[in-house]
Amino acid sequence: MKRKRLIGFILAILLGLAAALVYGWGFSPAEPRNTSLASLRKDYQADYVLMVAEAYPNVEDTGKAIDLLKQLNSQDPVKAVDQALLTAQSLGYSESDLRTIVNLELRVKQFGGE
Amino acid sequence: MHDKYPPLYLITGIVIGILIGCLIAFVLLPVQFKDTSPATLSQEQAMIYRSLIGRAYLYEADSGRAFSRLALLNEPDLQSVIAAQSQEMAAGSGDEQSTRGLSLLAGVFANPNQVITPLVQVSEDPTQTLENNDLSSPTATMPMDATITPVEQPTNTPFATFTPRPSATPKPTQGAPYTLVGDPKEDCDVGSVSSQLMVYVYDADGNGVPGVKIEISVPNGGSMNFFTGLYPEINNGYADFTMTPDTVYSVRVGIGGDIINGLSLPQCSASDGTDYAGNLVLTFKQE
Repeated sequence: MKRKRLIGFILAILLGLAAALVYGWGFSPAEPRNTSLASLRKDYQADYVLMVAEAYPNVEDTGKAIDLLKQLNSQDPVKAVDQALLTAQSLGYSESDLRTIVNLELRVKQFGGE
Repeated sequence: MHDKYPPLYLITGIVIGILIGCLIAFVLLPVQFKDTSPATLSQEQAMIYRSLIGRAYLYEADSGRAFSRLALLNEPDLQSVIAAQSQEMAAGSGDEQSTRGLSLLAGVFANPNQVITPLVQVSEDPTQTLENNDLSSPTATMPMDATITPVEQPTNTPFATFTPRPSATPKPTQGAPYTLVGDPKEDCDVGSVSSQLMVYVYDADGNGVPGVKIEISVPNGGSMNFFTGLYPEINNGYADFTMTPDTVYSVRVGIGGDIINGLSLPQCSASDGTDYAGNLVLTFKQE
């Protein structure tokens, strides 16, 4: 009898746990807040990369630009720029903006940002 | 009696399970969000985002684009947020250009027609071999890798790219230096604000100029910077700094301006004979 109650108690805990997890993760997750730049949607990330390219246009700025690109992809900032370029192309960014991003990409690669 | 009520240990177990589950789902391992918008960024990340917008504004001089980006942060009092960050960055060791860009953007609230001169970009042009590529084509990224294999290209001579310059005024960047108009004015009618160094910076036409860097010596040596434009409700060219009593300061406004030495708080006397610190007002104008 005692063993049966113990098993029932554990099963009840697991049942409550499962219900709460399904509710918390599946049906009612908390509103997004305190998110990071890396979690931004692709189009916002593309604009972020464009901003980095605009704000740090000079060769001597490349190190700082890489630091900011690592906010999107800490391991591979070049990949962040590549992805941004693809997104920018698909969204129809102007040629001027695309060139700005390409310029950044090449500077980052030359700087050894890979 | 025994069969009418569910066993208490089962209810207790379920409650404990729910509590543990809520702790895990909402606190310990909350949902990792993807595809978020800038409005959800943490305070620290939003500061990075804003400072980047400010700096990009200095190079692009496109206030429309800057404000559309700032709008993504969905902040109710954008002007205050920008001004506060600019002040915080100026007081700390924030990027000077970002600080200046943000203070200029704060000035746009008072003067929506404000146009600035974009900073000159001096860079190598690694895209010069891409001139014939159609960048709007989805395949445009493919040939780019091919052009970057030689790191030192003989054609990579740095050159200056001069972007088009709007001709509108005021120009907060380089130009004739700002000179002090008259003597520093002691203001004993302080109201609620005292011990302030109040600086007004005007261009040659008498318009307040936002985004002008003011360098001031600090008592323990060295100097710090603050910028005009953070209080457009007072004047686009207004900036202030809280002075310490019995301390002598030196101030320089803009690039190449004269250093104004020997500045200290005026000592004022109230009608009842008590002394208090007033404000010191400096007015600078571009020649």
